[in-house]
Amino acid sequence: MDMKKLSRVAYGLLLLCLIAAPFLGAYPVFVMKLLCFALFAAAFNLLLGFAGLLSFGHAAFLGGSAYVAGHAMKVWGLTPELGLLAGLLAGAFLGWIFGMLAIRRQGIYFAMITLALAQMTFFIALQAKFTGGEDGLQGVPRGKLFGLIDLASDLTMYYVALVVVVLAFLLIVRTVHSPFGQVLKGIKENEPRAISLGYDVNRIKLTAFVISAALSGLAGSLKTLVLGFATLSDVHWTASGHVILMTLLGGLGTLSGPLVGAAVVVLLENKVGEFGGFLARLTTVDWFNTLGESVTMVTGLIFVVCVLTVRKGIMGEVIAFLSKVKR
Amino acid sequence: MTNISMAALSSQLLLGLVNGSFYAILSLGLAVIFGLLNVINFAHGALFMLGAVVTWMAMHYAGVNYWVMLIGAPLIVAILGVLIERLFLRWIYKIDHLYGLLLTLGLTLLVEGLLRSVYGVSGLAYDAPELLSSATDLGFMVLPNYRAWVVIASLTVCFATWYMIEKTRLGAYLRAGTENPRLVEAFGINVPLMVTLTYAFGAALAAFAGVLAAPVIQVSPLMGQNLIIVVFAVVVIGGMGSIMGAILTGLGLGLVEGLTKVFYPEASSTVVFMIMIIVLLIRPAGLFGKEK
Amino acid sequence: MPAALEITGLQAWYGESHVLHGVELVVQPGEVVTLLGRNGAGRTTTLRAIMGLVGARTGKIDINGKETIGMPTHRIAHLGVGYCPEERGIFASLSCEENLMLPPPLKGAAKGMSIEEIYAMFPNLAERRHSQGTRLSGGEQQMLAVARILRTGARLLLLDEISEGLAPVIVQALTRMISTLRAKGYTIVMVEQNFRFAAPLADRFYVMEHGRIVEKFSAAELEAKMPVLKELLGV
Repeated sequence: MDMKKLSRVAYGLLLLCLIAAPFLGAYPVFVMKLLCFALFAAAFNLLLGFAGLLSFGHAAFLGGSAYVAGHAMKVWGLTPELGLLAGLLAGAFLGWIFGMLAIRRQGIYFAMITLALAQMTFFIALQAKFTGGEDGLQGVPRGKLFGLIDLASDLTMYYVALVVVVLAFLLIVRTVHSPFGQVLKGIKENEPRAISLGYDVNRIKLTAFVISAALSGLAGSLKTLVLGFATLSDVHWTASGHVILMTLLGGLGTLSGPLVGAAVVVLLENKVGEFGGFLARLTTVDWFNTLGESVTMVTGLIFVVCVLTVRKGIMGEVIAFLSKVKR
Repeated sequence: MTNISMAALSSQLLLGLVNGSFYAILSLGLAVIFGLLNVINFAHGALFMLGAVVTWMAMHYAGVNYWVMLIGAPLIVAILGVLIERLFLRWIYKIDHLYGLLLTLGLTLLVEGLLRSVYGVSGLAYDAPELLSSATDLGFMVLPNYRAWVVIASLTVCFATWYMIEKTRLGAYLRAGTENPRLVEAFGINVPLMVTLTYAFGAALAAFAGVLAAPVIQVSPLMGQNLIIVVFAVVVIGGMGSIMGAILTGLGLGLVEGLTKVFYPEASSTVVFMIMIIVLLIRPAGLFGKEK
Repeated sequence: MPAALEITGLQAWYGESHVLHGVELVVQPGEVVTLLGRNGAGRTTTLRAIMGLVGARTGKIDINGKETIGMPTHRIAHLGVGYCPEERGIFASLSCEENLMLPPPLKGAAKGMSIEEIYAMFPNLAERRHSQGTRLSGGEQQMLAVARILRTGARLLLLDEISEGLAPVIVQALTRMISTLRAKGYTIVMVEQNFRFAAPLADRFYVMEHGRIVEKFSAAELEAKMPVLKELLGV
């Protein structure tokens, strides 16, 4: 069975599991949250894994769009699909601005500039009235999709969210496999060569950046719709750090990597408290009980281990292993 | 705009200079490390924080005073810097240097998380030393002696660092190593050792700023976090080409921030970023940067 | 007395790229040896491999009888080796004099030339000592690149394309310099494209192609070997 068929089967199975999940005992809101982060990571990976650009400011798109969408649905009363659209457009717009400023500089400066711009966004969000500051934007209604389908039920919301995320993911897959995606990969591998071939490298990078930002915005908006609120933590730089970790851990430059990475990181964050308790009982060291509050520390540890050892990421290693086995 | 008294303005400008001093020392260290190692040391904020925390710990657990820690904390953090470079960073040099940013990010989260789990996030109080705890009446304002000390000490250290790098033999090794480390090694200079010591020196600088900061900013595990991101913006504005540039940019931006706090307080947390945007549009290489 | 430089079965890689496929050469103390070959033959790579500046190396490289294949670059230098790279490597952030003074005196090597001796041999550098390194002319930079390794006490000099792109009068000055050094007993390995420059100076020649030595002969055999050389080098 060749790789293409294998991956199609795998994705098919995954989709089936997701469709069946609420009936298998999974908590719909939790899975939806996971789906949003998976989309966020996939959108981010488009930029890092395929274009080779490390943005350290993607929280601005996640959180910024979360606020815009939330505001649109709560205060302007837009229906959910319009709210999501508003969020997506907000992400694209913000992405365009960030991109215009950051693309001028290479590699390491690019990361610092995106971080600084995102931090600026954070402070604006902190101070602006419409975001609700430290309390966040609360009480965002589920509303009626297209004015017809009531999303108040978690189950209905779940399938709508699933459709949105699957469609967005398919868009990413198509982008990667399209001629545009090929050029993008060419730029990542050998930019001077791409320039000499006549490509407007900066414009292509900017386009990738905007797409990535827009879909990150979609993820943020969806999350707001599902959870009913948007908070400062979505705009804080640690959210940027988390999505980098998800992508790195899952596998840069693979399509399935971000999905796996997001799942692992979200699950880890939820379970680290229990794991800490387990370690405390095992070693009778009481300090392990505080691990639950110290998600930061565990995240940092995973980062360090990941960069030093599993650089290809989980799916990267799996794919490499499967290629070797096939021979 | 309200009536602003001379005293209030001077006071804010002084605070701006104090913050600017921290920006200068930190961006200096960051630039030196980046120049030779080609790594953005995200951990710089954490090293700054460690300087302050170690100073606090020394007082709290062992009664060791401020003046000793002014030398002691940078030394301790420098040793930690050696460990970080030898145990972690050295693996990054052969691969994409962006991983250096990620690695140091991970280390930052690790260290901050660890300290947070022990000490929480609320500040740990640290008093200024006796000698500097009073104020001097200058007529137009009352000058808190400690803040004046911070500015003087910072400027001294910055100038000393600048001198060492630009005017001495050792500095020539560093400057040459930044340009072409392999060739410098071919001349018989132990470049790997120089790399380790440079990182340790950068760490020591950050820690020194941390000691200075302990009585002024709340000592907490998160005190380096927001500072480091502003310092990144400072470095982008100044450009990484010049030592003097990093110092002047840091001080200048601190002053600008102080002025903003007086005249337009809502913008004070974002003014540095806004200046960064303007500089990026007009002079992408930075104010003092040299296009590579 | 051990050979100044003895290379046996040297293979080298830049990353995945296998660039040297078994180089063998010997240089006795006081000899001047020239490495000839087309661009890409592996001459510069050989010099870099001696200094340990390539990716991976296997084989045997002995300097003054000491095995250096596993040594870090800075320790190889301290065996008394001076390296003058093809790109000259003058540092822009250093002045001319700082560039000159940069390489430290090598441990356990002979005493290098003093700064006065160097300025006597290269008066241009004395004049321009405070100028920024890269503001010097091409010829001056080349002089600087060689001068700075003379100060260190290195007795084995690895010179890569020192005559490249220089005016004839400068090349003549370089020729005189190499002759002086040879008279003083320095051991020199030169990589050269400029056949006319290398021919009168060298005691022996090696020709490289595709990462291997394909020809070797002494100065006396040069005339006889000209047809072979014409073919190999397109001279």
